[in-house]
Amino acid sequence: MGIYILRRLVQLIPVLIGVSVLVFFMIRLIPGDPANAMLGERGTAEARVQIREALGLDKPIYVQYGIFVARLLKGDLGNSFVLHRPAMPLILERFPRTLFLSFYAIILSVLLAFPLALLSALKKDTLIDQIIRGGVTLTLSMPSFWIALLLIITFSVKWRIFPFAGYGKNWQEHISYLFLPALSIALAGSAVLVRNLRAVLLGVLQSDYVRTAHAKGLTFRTVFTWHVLRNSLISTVTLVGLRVAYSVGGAVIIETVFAIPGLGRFLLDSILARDYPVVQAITLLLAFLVISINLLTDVVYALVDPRVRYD
Amino acid sequence: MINTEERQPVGAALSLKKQPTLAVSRPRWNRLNRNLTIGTGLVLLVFLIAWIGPLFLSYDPIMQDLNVAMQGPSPDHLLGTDQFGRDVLTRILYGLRIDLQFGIFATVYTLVFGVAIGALAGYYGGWTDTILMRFLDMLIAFPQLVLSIAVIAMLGQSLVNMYIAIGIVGWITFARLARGEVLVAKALDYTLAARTIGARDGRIIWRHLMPNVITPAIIFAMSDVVLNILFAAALGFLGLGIQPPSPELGAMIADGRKFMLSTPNLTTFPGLAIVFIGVAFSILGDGLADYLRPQS
Repeated sequence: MGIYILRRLVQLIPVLIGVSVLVFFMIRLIPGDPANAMLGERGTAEARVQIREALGLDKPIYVQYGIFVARLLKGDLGNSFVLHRPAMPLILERFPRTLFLSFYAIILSVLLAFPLALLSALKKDTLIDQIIRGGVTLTLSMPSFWIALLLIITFSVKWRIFPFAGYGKNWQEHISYLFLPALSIALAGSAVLVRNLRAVLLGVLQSDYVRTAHAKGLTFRTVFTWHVLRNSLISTVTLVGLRVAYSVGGAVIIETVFAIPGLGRFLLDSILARDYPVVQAITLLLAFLVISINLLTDVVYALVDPRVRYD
Repeated sequence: MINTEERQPVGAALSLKKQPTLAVSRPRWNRLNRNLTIGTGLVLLVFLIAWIGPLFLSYDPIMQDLNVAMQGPSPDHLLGTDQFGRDVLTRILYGLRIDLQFGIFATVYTLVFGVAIGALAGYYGGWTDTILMRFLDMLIAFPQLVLSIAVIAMLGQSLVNMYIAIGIVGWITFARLARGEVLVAKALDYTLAARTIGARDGRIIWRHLMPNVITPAIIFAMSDVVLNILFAAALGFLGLGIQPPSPELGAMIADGRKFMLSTPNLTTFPGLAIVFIGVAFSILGDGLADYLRPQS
């Protein structure tokens, strides 16, 4: 197992290099001179030189990349142009909130999707199945921010059950404050999950080993718990792992709707303020997050599925 | 002896294959026709509403008339007016056009680009393929929305840059689909036959592989139209997409947000319009999937 994880980590190196190259080139995407773009019309010649030096734009491109990576390894992602502080601590301060929201959303989407997919698969082609599948199509067409607004109107304004903005001060408050934001992200995610899980469950239900189990005279409950559920949970791990990137992306939008002081909101504010080092740093951090989760998914997958070979 | 041994499995395979198709073909055919017909009908309806609908309305989607600002639904303004006195229905119809155009053009160009690259990589294999797959691994590491937003942040807000941002991530799925299909199809007999009669690579890819490879891409394209429209709406909502006063649906929802409690129709109806397009294309996609791949 240790060797398997080690091998996966080694395989990650080219991806990490690629990701860093892409993020490195981001600032170079800015049309014209980035220093001009960052300063706008008010910038003095002195400030321009300062920015060019700070970004190392006067050096050859490979040297610039070397410096970028060397700084990156030290956790130095440059200074925020707006807040005049190193970008990394600013980001790390907000990161846990986005992480909390993303995971909350994933947990909710699994809690919603699994029973629905199960019901849909067990009652295949019945009215219940049709309704669930119709609901899935409908949910997939809804913008998450629109769902969020509808949830606010219903649950925060009319029924006053959940707060409509903010993050809360302690755990209990986080769970209550982030319920509607997480649900807004989870609904779209759970629709995809229901669709995929239904297919997985149908595959398992029609498999030979389930037929054998039935033929042996096992009760439905036993077949279901030990054969169907166990084998579908394995695919669920992968499906859920794949949803993480979407959940993080969703958090970016939803944080702005609910005024949650997380990374998504910070990213957006930084974009509007042309604070490029912060944009670069957040993009990089979120990419690393997705890569780590994917790695974790593969490891969990290998742990729960004995067919996955470690060598 | 060898002959009979060879024949038997072929015959067995054929009869095995035939049975299930015969058994399910009739009821299935009815069901898929239904999805395809409803889907096509709904998509046509969306287009009709977006392009013919405004002809029946006498309002301008951009011109402001503060005398009639923030009115509820009435015979004059079926869905009411916004804070600038613009007719909400008119704006939604023009908004449908804008979002549909973006959704469809973005899908078409990422499809062409993605399928071409995926097919070439799958066909030639080797280094081209390895590099492409590693490149895809890297792009997939980014949450797509975050990467697109970051690209727009660097390039600036404009329609062209929206197409570039969606292009960077949008072709990935098409390339993967096409590559996978080509890997399977290039090992099949008809490809071998084409090569045996001396067909060149270009002809094999274009005339023999492409018709078989394009099916999953076209089916996915229907969901991709929805995804791209949701992307455009999300950018509009965040203030990074098509700029006001253009009536983009996401931006309209963002505008209406301030008046969510007093005039909820400003947020509800543009959202419903997006849902309408989404459902139409999703049903068409399901119908196409059943129609083009009846065996699946």
